[in-house]
Amino acid sequence: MSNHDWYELTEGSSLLQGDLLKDCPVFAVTGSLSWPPGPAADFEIEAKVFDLVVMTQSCDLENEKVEDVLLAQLVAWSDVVRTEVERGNDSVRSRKFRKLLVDGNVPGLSLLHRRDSRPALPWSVVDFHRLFTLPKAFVTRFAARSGPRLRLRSPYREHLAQALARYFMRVGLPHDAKAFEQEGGIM
Amino acid sequence: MTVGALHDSLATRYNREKAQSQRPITRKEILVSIAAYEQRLQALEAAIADIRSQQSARDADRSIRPTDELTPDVDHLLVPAVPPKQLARFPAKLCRVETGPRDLALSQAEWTALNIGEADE
Repeated sequence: MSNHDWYELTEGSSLLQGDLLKDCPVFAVTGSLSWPPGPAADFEIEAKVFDLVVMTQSCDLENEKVEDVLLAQLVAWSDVVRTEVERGNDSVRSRKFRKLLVDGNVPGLSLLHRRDSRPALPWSVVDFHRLFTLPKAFVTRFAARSGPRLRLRSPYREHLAQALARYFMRVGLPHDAKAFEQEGGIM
Repeated sequence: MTVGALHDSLATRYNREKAQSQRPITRKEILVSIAAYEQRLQALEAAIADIRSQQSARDADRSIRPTDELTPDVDHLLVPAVPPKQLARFPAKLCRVETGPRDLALSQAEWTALNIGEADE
């Protein structure tokens, strides 16, 4: 295994933070919700299929400390560019945006390296704007049926977790200090 | 206080007061004092019995909470599963399976804040 490889191969039902799950469904109730539901309540749910990354801490998964698994969407860079351009957003094609992604300076996004050997992975982005939870029992069964799959190696998995933490911990100031750029040039 | 102890207490008081006063304490006064103490003792015993019955009722009503047996600063295998306040189950129908969106979920404000400009290639 190359030191440059961000990933290792895994198989079976074991789950760790940084595990990649391809084509995993997440479920949501459709239509308008009301509470309490009437006697003739007729719920419909839909399944949306995403590529996902496990974000729950590995120790919590291993020590049975959680009943649900936190997952974030993983999307191929080529799909990002295609869909963003289709809706008229050319900014996604700029070198500056890619540089921001490489440096980890786009809040809510984290870049994952491509992998050429099988199972391959294109350049991809984890989008923390789309977080999901699924029952751990379901995710475990899904992982067991997925065959060989990718798992982020350390320290890349911790780097991804840190990106989520940075996204979640950010604080917006009602009045920032941008004036310092001008007023601080006194030397 | 037991009745025996009560008698001892009264006898001590009787002897002390007898020594201090030449007037003898009458038998009637002693009986009145004993009756008053016994009345107070019975009231106290009734109050204690009432408190004990209330405590038993509270113990019976109180379900064991998941956190009751947790020791601070000790790693436990399971996070206490605090039950939801209300649990309701309804049948639901899976009506649609579709591919999730493949764009970035950045808002227009977030794109603007990145100050990227147009594509440069």
